[in-house]
Amino acid sequence: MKATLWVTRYDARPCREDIASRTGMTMIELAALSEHGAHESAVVNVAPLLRIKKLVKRYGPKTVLHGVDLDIPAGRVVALIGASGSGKSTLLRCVNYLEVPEPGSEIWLDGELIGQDARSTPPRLLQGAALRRQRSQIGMVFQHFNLFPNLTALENITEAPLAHRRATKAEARMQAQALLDQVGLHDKAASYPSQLSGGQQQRVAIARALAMKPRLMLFDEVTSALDPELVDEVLKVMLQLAQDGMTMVVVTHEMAFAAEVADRVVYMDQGRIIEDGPPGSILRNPRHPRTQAFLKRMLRTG
Amino acid sequence: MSFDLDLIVQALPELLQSVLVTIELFVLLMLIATPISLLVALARVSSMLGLRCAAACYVNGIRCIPVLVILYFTFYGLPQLGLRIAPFTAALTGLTIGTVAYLAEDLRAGLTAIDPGQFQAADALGLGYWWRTRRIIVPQALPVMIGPYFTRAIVSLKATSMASIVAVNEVTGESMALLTQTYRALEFLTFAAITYLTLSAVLAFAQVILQRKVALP
Ligand SMILES: Nc1ncnc2c1ncn2[C@@H]1O[C@H](COP(=O)(O)OP(=O)(O)OP(=O)(O)O)[C@@H](O)[C@H]1O
Ligand SMILES: [Mg+2]
Repeated sequence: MKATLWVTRYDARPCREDIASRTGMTMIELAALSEHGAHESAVVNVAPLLRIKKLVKRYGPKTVLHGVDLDIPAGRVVALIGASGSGKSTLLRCVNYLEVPEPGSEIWLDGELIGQDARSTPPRLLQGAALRRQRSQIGMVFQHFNLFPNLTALENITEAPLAHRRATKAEARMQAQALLDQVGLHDKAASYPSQLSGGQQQRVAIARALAMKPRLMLFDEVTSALDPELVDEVLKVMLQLAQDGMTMVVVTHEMAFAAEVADRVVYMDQGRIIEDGPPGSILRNPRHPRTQAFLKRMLRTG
Repeated sequence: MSFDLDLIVQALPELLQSVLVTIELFVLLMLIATPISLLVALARVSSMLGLRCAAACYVNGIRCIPVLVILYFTFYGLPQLGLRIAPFTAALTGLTIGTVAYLAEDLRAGLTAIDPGQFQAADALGLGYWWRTRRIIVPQALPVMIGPYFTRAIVSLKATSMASIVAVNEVTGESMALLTQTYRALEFLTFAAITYLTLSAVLAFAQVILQRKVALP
C-alpha cells in the first residue's frame, strides 16, 4: 500500500536508485532480487518501516551493541526483551540518535537514513534542524515519563509542534486536547505533571510523543516505574495505538502484554539479538538456553 | 561629642544623590552581568569542548584576581591603552568582569541540578538548543538559582563600595568625602551602613517574592 502511495505522490514508478535509498538495500542486492523475478516496486512493498543494520555501539572500551540487525515492517509491534544491561535502552536511543552509534551502523526509517547524511561518503553525522526533523518522526516514551514539570499537560503536548512550527498555537492546542481525549485525560489539560498520578503522567507522555504524528514509537519500560494498579491504564493506551496501526518497538518486562499485543518478540542478550519470532513460540518454547533462563526468572518474579 | 543627626540632615542632598549613584551602579551591574553570567554558565555545561574550556578559563582566571585589582585595571589600565572612559564606566566594567565569574558559577549549579531525562525528552522531541534552554531548562533551573543569585546580588551590592576608590561618588565615597570635610566619622558611616542594610533588605524581600513566582507547580 505504501508503494502505491509513494508512486502516486511522485506520479512515477520508482527507479532502482530510489528504491535503494528508500530501503537501505544496496544496488547489488536489488539487482539480485530482480534477477530472482521480484519486481522492483514490490521491494518497496515489503521494505520495512524501520531497518537497523549492523548497529554497533561502544562506551569506551566496552561494546554494548554488537552489530544488531532488525527489520520492522510498518504497523508491526515488536516487543524487545532481555536481561538488565543487555542493551535494550541503548538500542532504542540509537534509533533516534540520542546516542550516536559507531560508524558503519545504519538506521533507516521509511527509506531515510537517520542521523547521517546519505549523500556524503563516508556519511557525515547530521546536526541541527535536519536531525531534529528526523527525531520528530520518531516518538519516544521513557520509563520515568520525563514530562516537563514547568508546563501543563497540554503545554507538554503542544511544545514540539510549536517548536517545529507545525501548527499555530490554536491548532496545536486543539490537537493536544484531542490527544488528551485519546489517552483518556480530557479533563487534565491544565494540570501540571506533579498533580497527576504516574499512570496519568505516562499517558500524557505518550500523547506528547504522538503530537508530531510520528511514524514510529519507541517505548522504554514505560510501565516499570508505575504502581501495579496503574500499569493497565497505560497498557490500554498502547494496545489501542497498536490496533490503530502504529509501528512500535516496546522494551518491556510485561510478558503478558508482549504475548497479547506484540507481533514479534525479540530477545536480546549482551548486545546481540539471539532470538526473534512470534510471541507464542518465543515466550512458550524459547530455543536458546539463555532465553529459557530469562523467562523462567521473569515468571518467578512476575 | 555625641551622634549629631543635624550633620546628616545638612548633607542630605549630597548623600541622597550618592545613594542614587549606588543604586544606578548596582542595577546596571546586575542588568549586564546576569545575562552574560547565564551565557557563561551555559557555556560551562555545553557539549562543545572549546566553549567549555573558554568559559572555565574565564571563571577560574578571574576568580583568582581580587576585584579591586580588576577595578584598578579598568580605571588606570584602560586609559593607558588609549581607552578613555569615565570613572563610573570603569567601575561598572570592572565590577561586571568580576561579578560574572562568580555569578556564572552560581547559575551553573542550577543548570546541573536538572534531571538529565529532561534533556533527553527535549532532544527526542527534536526541540532545538535555544528552545530547550528557554522553555525547559532555565525555567526549571530558576527555583534552584534564585537563592544563590540573590546572595550574589547582595555581595555585588556591597562590592559597589569599591567604586569609591576609583573616584565614583557613591554612598561610601560620598560618606568618606564628608568624613574628611567634617572630621565626623560616626554619622556618615552609619548613614552608609544603613543604606546598604536597607538596599539588602529590599533584595531579600524581592527574593522571597520571586521565589514564590518561579517555584515549580
Ligand atoms: N552512558 C553510558 N556510559 C557507559 N556505559 C553505558 C552507558 N549507557 C549504558 N551503558 C552500559 O551499556 C550496557 C547496556 O545498557 P542499557 O541501558 O542499554 O541496558 P538495558 O538492556 O536497557 O538494561 P535495563 O533493563 O537495566 O534498562 C550496560 O552495561 C550499561 O552499563
Ligand atoms: Mg533500559
